[in-house]
Amino acid sequence: MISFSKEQSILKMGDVTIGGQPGEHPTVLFGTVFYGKKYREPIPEVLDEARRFIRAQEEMSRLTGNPGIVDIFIDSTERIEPRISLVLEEVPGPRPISLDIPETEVRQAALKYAAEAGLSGRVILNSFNLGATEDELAALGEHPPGTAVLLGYNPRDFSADGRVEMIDTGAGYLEKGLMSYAEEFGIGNILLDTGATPFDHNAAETLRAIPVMKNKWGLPTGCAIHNTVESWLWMKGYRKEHRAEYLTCDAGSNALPVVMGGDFCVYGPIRNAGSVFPVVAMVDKFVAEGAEDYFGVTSSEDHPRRKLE
Amino acid sequence: MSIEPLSTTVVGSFQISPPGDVLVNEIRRGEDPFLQSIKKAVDVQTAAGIDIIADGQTRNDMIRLFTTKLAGIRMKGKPVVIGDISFKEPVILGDQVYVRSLLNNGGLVKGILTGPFTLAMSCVDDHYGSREKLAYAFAEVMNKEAMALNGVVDIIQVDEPYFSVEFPEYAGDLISGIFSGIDKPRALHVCGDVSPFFDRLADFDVNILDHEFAAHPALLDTVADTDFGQMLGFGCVRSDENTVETVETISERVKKGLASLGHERIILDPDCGLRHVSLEVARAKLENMVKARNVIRDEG
Repeated sequence: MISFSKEQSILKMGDVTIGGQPGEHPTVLFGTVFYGKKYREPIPEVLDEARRFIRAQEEMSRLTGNPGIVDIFIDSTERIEPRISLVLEEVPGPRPISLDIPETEVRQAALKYAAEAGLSGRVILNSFNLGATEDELAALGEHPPGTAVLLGYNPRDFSADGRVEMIDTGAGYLEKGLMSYAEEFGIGNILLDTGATPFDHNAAETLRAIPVMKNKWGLPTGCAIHNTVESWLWMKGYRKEHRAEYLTCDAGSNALPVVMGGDFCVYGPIRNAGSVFPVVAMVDKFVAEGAEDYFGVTSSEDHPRRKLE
Repeated sequence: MSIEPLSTTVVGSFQISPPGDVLVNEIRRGEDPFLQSIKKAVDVQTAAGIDIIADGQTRNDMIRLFTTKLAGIRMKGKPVVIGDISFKEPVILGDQVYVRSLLNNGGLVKGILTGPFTLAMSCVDDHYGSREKLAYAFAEVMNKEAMALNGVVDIIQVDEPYFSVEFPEYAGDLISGIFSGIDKPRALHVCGDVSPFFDRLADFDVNILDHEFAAHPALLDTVADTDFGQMLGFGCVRSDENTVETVETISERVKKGLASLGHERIILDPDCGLRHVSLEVARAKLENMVKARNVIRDEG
């Protein structure tokens, strides 16, 4: 178990608390909805299934104490409004929503939409990364989201330091670091994603970068480590005949960032909430028990350490 | 393999990078976003009519390209040598195979390695305690990369820009070391004004010495006065100016070289990598260089 000498910020995103020393607050879990071909058309049965997945994550969150955030995958401008609206119908109160948008033009449109809908404060931009164009930087300045996830992908250097460099200086891809931009835009909450890379591309550095970044900035840090499992070539073949075993690995991978002191996991398809939440709750208990025994860290009341005896 | 006189080639780099979103999304999926930038670099060269093709060095800068892939080095802004440097696996071999696959109708492929002295000068050394020892260590591991390329490419070029900053006594040993066991043509590119030590380079065991004659025209006088046996990579296009020289300007430069050295000893390329000029300018520079070569050939 680890603890940081650097003071660790605790952030409030709506009704979700994130950050602090390992073991202090429960790990926050982002489950992604609408990823995949079947969501391209608004088929009622498919949308009903998406609603069930969102409710299932909510139920797992209530059960374990690990906050669940819906990460909305949006791959075109015309899908911004319907997808966000559906999620807002299912997500209670001030709970934030996360926007996972692969293309910069769509990210810009979504930031504008959120501002016009009065949602900016609830929005977590997942993520602000090296793909930000001048237009996107302008959109961020004009319509800053309540929270931004700064992504440490640095294609020139996958080491932990390379990932830090992306956030710190822009690593040659941007004129300055993602952190400087985020501060300049007045983004209230900043999360750090170390940027999961595939095996043989310094995958382990994804995890090592967690304590490195927390020690440097003291901000909530995590990653989507399940992407490493998903892109594993051998597993791509194995999973065709061994779905359950694949899901075990996929869910189990989320234990790793938590052990490394991380504060959140972007765990992939929200339909996997049932297997991911218990794994993370279990590791949270280990981490919190160790943190209390060795470092005197007290877990929050909603922490799996207190909630799941 | 012999190299045709007045062949055209590039020194290496281009200002090409996949769009940021492509980088993020393809890395996330475990795909290689740089294959498209390599293809773009190859397309620029083949469209211009270049004879000896390189991968464009789009994947990374010449230092990080290798230092991020060697054991014993930790990246901390600059590469920091923390233990014995050792070779893990070929770094650019796959890219050369890919370049070859793109050249359906043949064409020559040049594999480009960063030289051991330049690597040593670009690292923070927390282990060897001597620049010379570090440089020899790099020569040894980069030789393994060269050996991996030996069966795949047609020419291997080593880039040593730091020789212009400081030319060590052991420079020749380093170059012999990195090329040890290589049976393909061996080229050494040193940019800047190499006049002060060209006579030393003349003793190196390489087939091609490649230098900047457009930015340093007076170098031709030194070269002409030196007894050397290698072919000359005659940099005839400025790589540091974002303007395109005319065919006439380039052919005049080349003719001066030919007058001093003769047709048989010269191949043509830009002064250095074209990373510092826009891709459009790079494309036009290469096209005019090939046209200039053709004019000269036609004139006999």
